[in-house]
Amino acid sequence: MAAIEILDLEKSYLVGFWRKRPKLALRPLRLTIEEGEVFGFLGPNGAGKTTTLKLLMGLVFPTAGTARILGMDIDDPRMKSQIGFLPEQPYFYDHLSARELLNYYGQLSGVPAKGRSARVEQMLARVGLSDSAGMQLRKFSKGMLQRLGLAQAILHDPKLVFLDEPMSGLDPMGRREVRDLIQQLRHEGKTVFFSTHILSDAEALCDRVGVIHQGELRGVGAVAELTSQTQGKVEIIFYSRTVPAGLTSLGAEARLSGDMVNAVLPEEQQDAALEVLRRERLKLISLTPVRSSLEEYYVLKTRPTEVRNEDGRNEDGRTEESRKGVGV
Amino acid sequence: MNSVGMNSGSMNLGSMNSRIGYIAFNTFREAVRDRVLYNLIAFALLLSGAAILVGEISIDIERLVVVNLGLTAVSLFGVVIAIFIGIGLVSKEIDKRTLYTVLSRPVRRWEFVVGKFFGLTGTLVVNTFLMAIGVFLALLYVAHRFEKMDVWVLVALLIVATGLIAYDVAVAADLGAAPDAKNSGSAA
Repeated sequence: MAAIEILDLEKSYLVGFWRKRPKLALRPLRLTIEEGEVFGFLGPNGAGKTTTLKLLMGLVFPTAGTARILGMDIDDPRMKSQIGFLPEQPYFYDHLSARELLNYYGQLSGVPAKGRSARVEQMLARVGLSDSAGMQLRKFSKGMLQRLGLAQAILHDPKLVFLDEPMSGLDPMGRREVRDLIQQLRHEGKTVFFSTHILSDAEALCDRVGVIHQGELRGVGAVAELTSQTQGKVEIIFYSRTVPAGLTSLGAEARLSGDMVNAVLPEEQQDAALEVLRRERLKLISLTPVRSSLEEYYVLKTRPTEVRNEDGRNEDGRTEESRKGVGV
Repeated sequence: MNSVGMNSGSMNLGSMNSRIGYIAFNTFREAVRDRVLYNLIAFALLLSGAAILVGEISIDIERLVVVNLGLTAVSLFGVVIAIFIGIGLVSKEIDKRTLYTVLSRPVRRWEFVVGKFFGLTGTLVVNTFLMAIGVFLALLYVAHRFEKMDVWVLVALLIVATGLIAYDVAVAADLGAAPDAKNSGSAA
């Protein structure tokens, strides 16, 4: 069974004070996420990531379309007891302490009274907030609120966890802990749907990613596939103050930075290039095949619409060009 | 995760009434921890106390003055409290986005609004009770004993309290109307 089934979900807002015009926040979105999958939802700021999550949480109503989570409607309370949600930059009742807040949320989610306080303590320990559990939330820092947000999202042992920008506002240690946490959730067989614009996190964690831009889903793919394609090119880095003439004649694109040269050239020219370096007695630093990274996929997918429309026919040429633009 | 005796498969939802109760209690707790509330109660008690002074310069109708001013203080400050707390009851939750983590749980929107309403009602009842004690203490100070007619002061207080609750129904109904509408403009 699919964990999340989004069927042409669409949202437009009315903007303007006097003359209200609809603004499309999310174009019809169709997406299926399988159970046990870690799915990364990527896109620049304002792309529609948060809108999608709000729609799925039933916080805003869709203009058109529906979605099903764990096979149930999005306003079904039975479904809601099996999902956890961390909003973007979470903010909680600041008159409560962390312990009181988690207890309150446990009550609302139907966590049985018997094991509730033990469960709350366990969650506080898991996100490293045991020491400040009794402090009022108005004294919490942004990172601590983020940790608490994670604790409340997994408090009731949900099957499916939605995280909106889980790494934002965290220090490097915190980010690492969140990464570990998501990995643990995957091991426990949970489905994780998280939005981010930090690509390295997505690359490290996700099974699949979807790229959204200007309210439109631009592409979905398995991370393993996206990052394993080699492009028949190699990148050579070596010490030199000038770019050797022999290299440019081999069709290399070279760039000088400080006393290092970074050159990208076709794979079949690899040996010839190394020969050039040997002849010039230059010291080689590295030679690596150029792989397409998630970043390139992302850049490709989030290029402005205008460019896509202009030379939509010349699909291959454009792809090649953009890859070069990133790789070099 | 080694869950503590929890079983998400059993789908323990908890009852609707208990959820409303939890929300009401949290609303009450929020109001009680707000310092503004104590200032208002202090002012109401101060006004009841002032009634005693005003009563002293009136001849023969001391009790009447104390009752009048006392009831006025209770209803006036009751309304002020209802407005101060009621106005932010739902809109503050939307603005501060505390609503998100509540509505993403098995809580229906109307349960949330009803819970908020009962929380505000509870706060008003407790406050009216505290202020009523102030009025009766003032009466006791003036007359040194209670009379049979003082029962009517109690009746008047109940009417005031009912009025306040009616008022807070209006506030809650108005604010609970459209949590969705607030989201327009934040299309990010």
